[in-house]
Parts: sequence; structure tokens; C-alpha cells
Amino acid sequence: IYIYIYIYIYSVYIFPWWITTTAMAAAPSIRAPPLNLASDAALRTISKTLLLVPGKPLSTSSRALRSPRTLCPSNFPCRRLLTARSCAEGGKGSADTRQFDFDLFTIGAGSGGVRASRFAATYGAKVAICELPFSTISSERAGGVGGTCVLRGCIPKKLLVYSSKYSHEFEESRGFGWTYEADPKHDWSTLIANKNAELQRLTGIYKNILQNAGVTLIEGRGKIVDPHTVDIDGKCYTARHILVSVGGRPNLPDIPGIEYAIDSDAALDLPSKPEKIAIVGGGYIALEFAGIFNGLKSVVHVFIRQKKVLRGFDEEIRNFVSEQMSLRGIEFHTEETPQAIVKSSDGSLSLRTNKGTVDGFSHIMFATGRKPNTKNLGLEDVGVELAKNGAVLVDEYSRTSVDSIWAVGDATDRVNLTPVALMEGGAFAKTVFGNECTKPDYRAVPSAVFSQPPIGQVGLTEEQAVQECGDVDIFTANFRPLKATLSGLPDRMFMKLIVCANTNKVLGVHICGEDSPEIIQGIAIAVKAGLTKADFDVTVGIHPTSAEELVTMRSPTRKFRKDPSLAMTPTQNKCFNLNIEKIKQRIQIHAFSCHPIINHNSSFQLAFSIRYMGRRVPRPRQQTATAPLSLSPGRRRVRRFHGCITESWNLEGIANCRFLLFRFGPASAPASSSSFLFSTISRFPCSSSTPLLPMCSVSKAPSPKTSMTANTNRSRPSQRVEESSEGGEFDRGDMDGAGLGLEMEPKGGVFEARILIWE
Amino acid sequence: MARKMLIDGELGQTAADEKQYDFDLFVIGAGSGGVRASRTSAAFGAKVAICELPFHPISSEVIGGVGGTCVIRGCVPKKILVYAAQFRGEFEDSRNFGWELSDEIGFNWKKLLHNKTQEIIRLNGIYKRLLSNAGVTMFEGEGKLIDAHSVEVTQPDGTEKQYSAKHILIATGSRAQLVNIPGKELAITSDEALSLDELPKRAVILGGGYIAVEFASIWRGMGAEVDLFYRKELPLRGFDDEMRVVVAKNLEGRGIRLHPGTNLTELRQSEDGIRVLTDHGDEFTTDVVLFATGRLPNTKRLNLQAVGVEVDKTGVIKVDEYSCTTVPNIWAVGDVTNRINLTPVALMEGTCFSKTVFGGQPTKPDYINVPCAVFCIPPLSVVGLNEQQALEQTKSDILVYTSSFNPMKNTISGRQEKTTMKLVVDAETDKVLGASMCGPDAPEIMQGIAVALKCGATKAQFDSTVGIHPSAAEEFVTMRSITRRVAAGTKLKTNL
Repeated sequence: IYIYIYIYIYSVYIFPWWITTTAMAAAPSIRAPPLNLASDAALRTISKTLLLVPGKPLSTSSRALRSPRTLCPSNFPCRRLLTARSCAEGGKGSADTRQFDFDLFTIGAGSGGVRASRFAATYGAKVAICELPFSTISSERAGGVGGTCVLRGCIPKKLLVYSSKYSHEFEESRGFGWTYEADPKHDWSTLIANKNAELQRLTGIYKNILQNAGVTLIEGRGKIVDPHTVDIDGKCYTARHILVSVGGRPNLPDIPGIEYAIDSDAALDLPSKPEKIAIVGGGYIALEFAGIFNGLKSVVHVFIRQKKVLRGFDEEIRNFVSEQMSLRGIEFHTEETPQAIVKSSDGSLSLRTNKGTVDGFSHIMFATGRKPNTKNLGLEDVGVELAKNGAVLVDEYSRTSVDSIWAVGDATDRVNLTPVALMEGGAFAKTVFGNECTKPDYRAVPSAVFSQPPIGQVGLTEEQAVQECGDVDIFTANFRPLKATLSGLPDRMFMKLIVCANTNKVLGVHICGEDSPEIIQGIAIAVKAGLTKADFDVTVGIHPTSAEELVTMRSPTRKFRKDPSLAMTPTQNKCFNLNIEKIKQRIQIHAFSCHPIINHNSSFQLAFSIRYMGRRVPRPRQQTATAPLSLSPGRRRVRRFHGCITESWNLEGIANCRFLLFRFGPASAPASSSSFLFSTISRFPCSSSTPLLPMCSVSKAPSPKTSMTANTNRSRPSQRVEESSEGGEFDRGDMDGAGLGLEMEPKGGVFEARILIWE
Repeated sequence: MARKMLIDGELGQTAADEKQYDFDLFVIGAGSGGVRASRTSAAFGAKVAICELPFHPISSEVIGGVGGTCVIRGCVPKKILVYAAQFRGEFEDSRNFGWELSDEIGFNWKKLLHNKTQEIIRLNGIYKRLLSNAGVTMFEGEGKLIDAHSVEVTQPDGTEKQYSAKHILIATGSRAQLVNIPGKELAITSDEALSLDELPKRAVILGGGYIAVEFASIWRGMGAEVDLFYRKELPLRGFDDEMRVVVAKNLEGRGIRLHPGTNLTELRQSEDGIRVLTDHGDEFTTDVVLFATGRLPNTKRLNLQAVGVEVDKTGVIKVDEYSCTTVPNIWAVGDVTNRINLTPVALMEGTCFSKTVFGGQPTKPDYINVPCAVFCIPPLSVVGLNEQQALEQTKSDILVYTSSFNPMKNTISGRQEKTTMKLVVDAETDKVLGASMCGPDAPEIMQGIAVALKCGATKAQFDSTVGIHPSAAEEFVTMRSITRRVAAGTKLKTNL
């Protein structure tokens, strides 16, 4: 049995001579325990990498003199797997009796570094931290106390989001009776000046925080020269522990003309607002900036290599957010890889991709990933293992392959979020100086994307949940929030609850729509605490809010079961708006493609059919069999629809039917093929005397899988409609049990229903 | 479809007692509670009828509308007006974010009113459809009890029809009341306030409850001069005192004049408006006087006493835990029972009623940890116990965590308004007993917190949750240091 005695704390006050023989004796017997099957993929990568790199000399530094080889007893090689080391070894690390300038030297005063330093200092450690001089744009030589989050990330980004959101609010306000003599104009320089003043204030606050905690702040570039020594611009400081929290920086690909491109650092501090900007990348940074510039009335094109934005997020969220962003005027170019940037004589930029060239950009921004700032830190020289992308490899306690060197935050490329860096920093301080082995807990870490509309998520995606849990129930809601019913804007809200069918536990929650990040925080507490769907159900709603929808989801949209006969594979969706209009005894369908990620040149052939009591309803003779749905590139502000198709059916003789089934799919595929078939049931008007109701832009994204679930004969509206007097009644109700089945009322009306087609 | 066998809650009944009734359930009042109960009962297989007064935005003895207070004269129209009013603050805030707005931004009250009415008519239609889709028979007219199994409906044309039912559910809700002072006929209630022809330039509001503060925020946001009068030292009696202070401060910060400890004594029509006299001897002239001084249940014309349904002095129907009145087959849910007067609670009561009576699962509504929100600007939202209640109801010490911070948006906008959050924790069990927040998005944030509280989340579980950065809500999971520890049994001063 692997037992250790952990005896080490407060190295400042307690002389380490008492390190007991027990501990020393125990050391040799400590074999690397079996690989910890941590769920964290990063850790697995680390162990793999290290397995491939057998021992190499511990320290190649010229300052080997100071290198405390004594740290690693000869029978306990330092070169070993990083996984599953006991944090108690931190104690042995301090068995060194030598005097150091500091107990902890932190390189990098960003979120993780500041937190770790402060906490270590409150535990009584003598701490120094170094940071580069302040600049809004980072480089090898510039940074600033506060780090990415405060100076080039979360904070300035959100300030710009706030600013850009106003244009949407101005639009909304019109529906609420507000009128403008002239359209509001935006002055970029005011915004940037106020933003920078705020950043200066914040960096000052961070400096104060450090000072108040008794941490010595040294300005300059830190470089590790041996496992206990940091060199700052020629001056050396020794420390018992070194913490690397240098963060990351945007990474631009090496293509011709890349010198004309900007990264997110620069985008947050441009001298003038872009007129027309290309944003390359489909990650959260790209989407956030697309929202910012679109809100500030720049023309925005987003180029994505993949088919969809936000790889790694829940599929439905990926579809929903890009659709909503398209409706706000952002143009997406999918599966386009940038190849070169060309500057023309008039100064404008062109972006050449594998599919063509788009001209006339004032700015081209790359949001194609970030890289850890680990170059030229001396890490490799002292034996700290790095991953290929430069990330510092660490164990679960954030310790690197060198015992006295630790790393937290983006430099380790685990979950690159400020609150996670804070957690890692806090856990590090507790482990090393607080006498409490603490691993950061990466379960149910919530996160947000401040796109417009924003996303909030916690826990597993649907795909992950199906893989990990097997039997999963999915509850979704796609509705028009109350505010949108008055504003008349096409804003919607999407929510999804993923529940393990066996344990009833809520595995994941995904929201996209206004206030999502704020809504998800409380939900994250519930998910983290392992609450069940039943717990959600017994919670009373707050009326009228959007969030109440999360506690009023009664019937699953779809179910996944391990039983192969019921198993379904997640598929790709395409969205259409279907507008059904009763004109006398005919029913007419307009289908509008509103799928945002459609390339200019793509086209579909679609076929409609209507079924009544299992029989196909004949189409009037004069109607052609299929009408092509031509897709025109979505022009800015010419929103909502990319194409339109109209077909009519003769409904004479079936006016009293209970329901109809519409089918809708690519013309080429056989109608019986379930691989593409969409189906939904719609109410239709039976009485020709009833006047047409005004179009209510109701749309619902019933899941593709619903029609395959056993749920077919549900003929009752969803219970949720009642609570959600916020509008969007059809979608939340009628389409909800979607797939097959809803009773129809002989009431007149026009309505739309959004249809999903899957391939 | 063959009707399902009724599973009746009353087990003692024998088949011999079974009479033929027109309906299994007759519901009087198609508001939140009534509609929910009808639909869920119908889903259990019951034959259900519901009656409701004709539709109109302003309610009276003979006017109401399917959807009830929430949809027509409450939550929904109120929130629409709050949205409209919030924009003023947004305009002010946007300037420091670089937006250049002309000084004169117009506000067209009529347009808003039109759009609001359209939306409410739409919702009214939806509710009607919901009922008919559920197979519920609808009658338009005023319902009245004849005996324990009969309801008489007086239709708008004056004809009367009688229906028999095995069970009767009263869900007639409540109506705003005017305080009895000279000139009270010059005052309006929240019903009229939601549908005024003209937007007032000056408004006087009497009352310190949530309706009063919400209308104060609405009118102020639309540009009116607002004077708010209430009897206590602070508005929002019943809420956490600390939060009440915050709300009062915010209202003042947004330009509403507060008159605590003041009552109105008389209203007089004058040339330039309504003259308002207070018990402090002050006089104000205003365009509109809103009385937001409470609501009374709509039970007067139901003929309740005649059939033996007991009501209290104010007309509230007395019910047991299952919402059953003193007559075993007559039930009541929603505001008419004056338990917790919130839409989601009425929905819960309605569902529990159906389950009990037609679902074969006797179910009590659960009133613990019901969250609620006050949509003043900025809003207040709470769940669980406030500090005072926590001290009364728990034996151990109470840990109070508070946080008052400048929301990030205000760092640029320059708005001087702090967001305040509070957690009340049981020192012994570590359970979070109550949470409150006053600040932008509070109601949306509180919903998730309510889920956590409902199942007894501990402070440790709050702490172990990673924050969402940068958000306001993350403050709830990063409250590390105790603001104060209050010893068990401490009495807080409650004369506010």
C-alpha cells in the first residue's frame, strides 16, 4: 500500500532539518503508481509524451552549481511520469537547507500568477513576481500586471461587447416606442480612450493587490537559469519554488501577406474602427470580435476552415449561434482556408482563400489560436518538459517535470479560462504553502462566449453525454423571448438540458441567447453539485424571465438509448423556415433557407409532399414537381432568408382532417429514406372564412432525431406554453413534441415553422 | 379516443354516489392557475369546462379575459413596460461607450401601448387555443356557484346557463384596491396604469410594495417626475432589510423622489392636475395618482357563503394543503387563496390540484425556496430566507456574505449604482438558506441559484463552482470571506 507521510509547510518559518527519516525512507519505495486514468485529456497527453522521452540529464544549465541535485535522491529519478505524483513530494523539495531569496518566484503577473502569489503570501511565504512593462499589445518585451484577462482579453473584450451591443438595443427600443431624430453614431476613439483609462486603473489595482499582500513586484523579463534561479534582465533571484504563469499569445499562421493582418491584441486597440473586416477563425474569439465589429456597424466577414463555428461546443448551439449571428448581418464563409493577404494600391486588403478572393477589407484579423509564451524562458534548458505547442507539461498539482518548478494558467494549456487559472493558482498555493494537497477540479467548469447573442454552457455536450452515459434524455427549448416579441427583431433563445436517463443527473446545460452567461452561473452550481432533473423540476420559476424555461422543461425532445434499435447518431442539421399559408382550400408553403453557413455557390433541390392519413396529397396539376431553391449569398442587412420556394396543394376533401404531415427534403433522395427526411406536423386552417392572422415569426428547431423517437402520436401541446407567455408559443408548444403529431384546430392562420433537414 | 377512467382523489366514494354531471371539473377563472389546472386535468382524462369574463385590459366585476392577471394586467405587460423604461438608462450609459445620441430621443407611448396590446391579444388567443387543444370547453361569462355541484354562467348577453360538475375549482384571482381617502376616484390602479391614454409627466405613487416600485421605475424611465409615498421607512416590506436599503438607494439614484413614512390624505382635482395632500401637510400637484396598496381576492359575487365555502375577512378562500376549500368537492388555487401570489406558484398549485383530484397522486404544493423577482430598475431577485427569517427559523448561527460592487459596465458608463449580492448560510450545516441580489439581470441569475437552493446546496458547493468571467453572477461563487456572523437568536431591528 502506498502510504506517505506529508510533513511540510510554511517553509519560511519552519527549518526543514526535521524532515523525518520516515519521509526520506519512504521516498525510495515510491514507485510511480499506475497511470492515473484521469479524465483530463491533457494529463493523458502528458503521460504519453513523457513515456516517449526517457530520461535525459536533469540540468544542463551552466549554473548547475546551484542546481539542487539533492532534490532528487539518486534512487528516485526525477525523470519519471508526471502523472500521479504525490503532492507531498513538495515537502521533500524543500528539504533543501539552503537559503533562498524567496520562497516563491512567480514569472508572469496575470490571473493565475497574481492569485498564486497572493495566496502563497497569505500562507506566509516570501513571494516575488515579475512582469513585463505595460502595453495593450503583448510581445516578448511587453505585457503588464493583470495579464491577458485584464489587458487584452476578458475585460477589454467585454467592454467592447457592451459598447457594440447598444446598436442592437437601439434597434430593439424602436419597438418599445423610442424614436430617434438621427441614427446614433459611434465614436471609436471615445470608446478606446475610456477603455484604456479603465485598463490603467485595473492594472494599478492589481499592483496594489500585490503590494498589499506583501508580494515583491519586479518589472522585467524573467528567465529561468536553474531550477531555483530566475534571471531578470541580468539580475538573479533565487527561490525555493518557481511558478511559471506566463500565459499565451495569439498565434498567426505563416501565409504571404500575414504582416498586414492583426490579432486580437491589436483589434482591441485599433486607432480607428474598421470599415470592413475579415475575421479568420471559428473559435470564440473570432465570434466575439465578429459581434463587436458588427455591432459597431463594420461590415464583417468570418472565414472558417470547418463547416461550423465553435468546434467542441454542442452541435445545436453551434448551429444556433451562427444562425442568429447571420441574422444580425455577419457573413460566414465556411470551409475556406486563407492562403494569402494582398494589399492593393488603394490600401485595401484582399483575402485569398482556397475558394476565391474577397476584396475591400480595411482590416483582416486572425483569431486562429493562441500559443503559450514559453519561448526563451530557459525552460527546456533546466529540464522542464514542454508539449509540441510549447505548453508546459504539468501533473495534477500543476508541477512540471522539475520538482521546484510549477506552472498554471494558459502556459499549461489545460482549460484556458481566467477562473480556471485562478483555481489552479489557488490550488498551487494551497498545495505548496498551505499544507493541503489540492488538485484543481475540472469537472463542470462553466464557460461563456460573449458573442451576440452570447452562449453559456456547463458540463457535457450532447455528443459527449451520449458517448459517456449512453442513455440520455435531451430537453430543448427554442423560443422567442418576450423582448423580441415587442422589438420585432428575429432574436431567439435556445436552451438545452442534457440528462442521464439512468441517474436522472443533469450532465450538461447549454444556452444561447441574451443573458446566457449570467443565467448559466447559478445553473453551474446545480450541475456541479450533481443535481437531478427532478431537482430542476421542483424549482419554481421566476416569472417572467428567460431562465425559468430551464425549470419548466417537462418532456424530453429526444431520447438516446444504448439499445441499438433505439440508438441514434448525431447528424448534421440544416435549417429552413417554413411558412404555411392557407388560401381558401389550398395550402401553400414557402420555405426559406435561413441556414447561415451556406456558401455562395451551393444550391439545393427540395421536394415537398403532404400526407394525410398516410396518403400523399396530390399537388395541383399546374405545379411543377420540384422547384429549385436557389440560394443567394446573404447580403448584409438583407437578412433572414437566402432563398424561397413556394408550392401549393389542393386540400379539398380533406378539410376536416386531424392532421397533416409535411415532408421536405432533397429532391434527389427517395422519400422513404430516413437519412434525410424531415417531418413535422403543423396546424393548418380549415375554415376559409377565418381571416388570416398576421405572420408571427415563429420558428422552432425540432431536433432531427425527434421524428425517430417513439414519440410519434403525441397530440397535446407542450405544458410549457403557459408559463412562457413570453411568446414563441407555437414553437414551444406545437413543434415541441415534434416529429409526428399534433391535433389541428379548425382555426385560420398563417404561421411559420422551422424545419430541420439532416443528411 | 376513449376516455380514461377517472381516478378520484376521494376514495370513500362508492359507485352508488356517482351521479351524472355535465363535467368532471368546472373551473371559474381562466388565469394562470385555472388554465393550468384545466389543461392538466383534461390530460388526466377529465371532462373539463372553464368560464372567464370577456377580455379587456382593465378588469372589473364583469371584465377579465383568458390569460388572467399575469398575461393581461400583470407580469407580461408590466415587464414589457419595464423593458421600454430600461432603455433610458441604456441611452445614458451608451455615451461613454462612444455612442453619440441626439439630445432629443423621442418616446412614443401610444406606439408602445399599441404594441403591448397587440402582444397581449396574441397571448390571449394563445391561451384560448391552448384550452381548446386540451379539449377544455370554454364559456364566456361570469361564473357563480349555485350549489356544491352547480355553476351558473351569466353570458355577456345576459342569458344564464347552469352546468353541473363533480368538482369545482375557483381560480378567480384578485384585483387591485383603492385606499379609502377623499378623492380616491381620481386615483388609478395598476390595471389602468398599464393602459393610460397619455404618459404622465408627473406621477404620484402610493405604496411600498413591488407594484409600486416597479411603476415608479417604469414612469421614471419614460421620463416622468415620480414621487413615491409609503408608510414604512423603506419600500418592499418582507424583503431582506439590507436589500431594501439598496433598492431605495437605487430608486433615488435613478431620480425617483422617495417619501418614506408618508401617507396620502386627500386627492383633489385642480386646474393643472390632481392636488395630493399628505399626512405631513405637504401638497403636490401631479398628473396621475397610482394606488398600489394591495389587492383583494375576487370572491364577492361567487355566492361562496351560500354553498358553505369559507372565506376570511378580506375575502380570501380558506383552503387546506391540497387547495381544498371547506366544501370537499370545491377547490381553489392562485391569488384567490392568497398564499404566495405569483404566477409560477399558481401554476404549481393548479398542477398539484389536478394530480390530487384526477391523477390519483395527492400532491401538496411546496412553498419552500420559491424564488421571486421585483422588476424595478435595476431589479431585485431573491430566493429562500432573508436574514431576519433565517435567524427566526434556524437554531444555529448565521453566516452572512455580502458583496457590493461596481458592475463592469458602470466602470465606463460612469453610472453610480452598485450591484449588491447576499448569501445567508447556516453556520452549522453550511447550507445556503437564502440568496438575494439587486442589480442588472438579477432575476435571470437567481433562477439557477434557486435550483441549487431548492436541493439544499451548501456554501462549499457554491465555492467549488468555477466562475464565469467576466459576469456579475460569478460573484455568487467567489464570496470567500464572511461579512458577519450573527449569533443564533439575535433579533434584528425590524421597524423599517
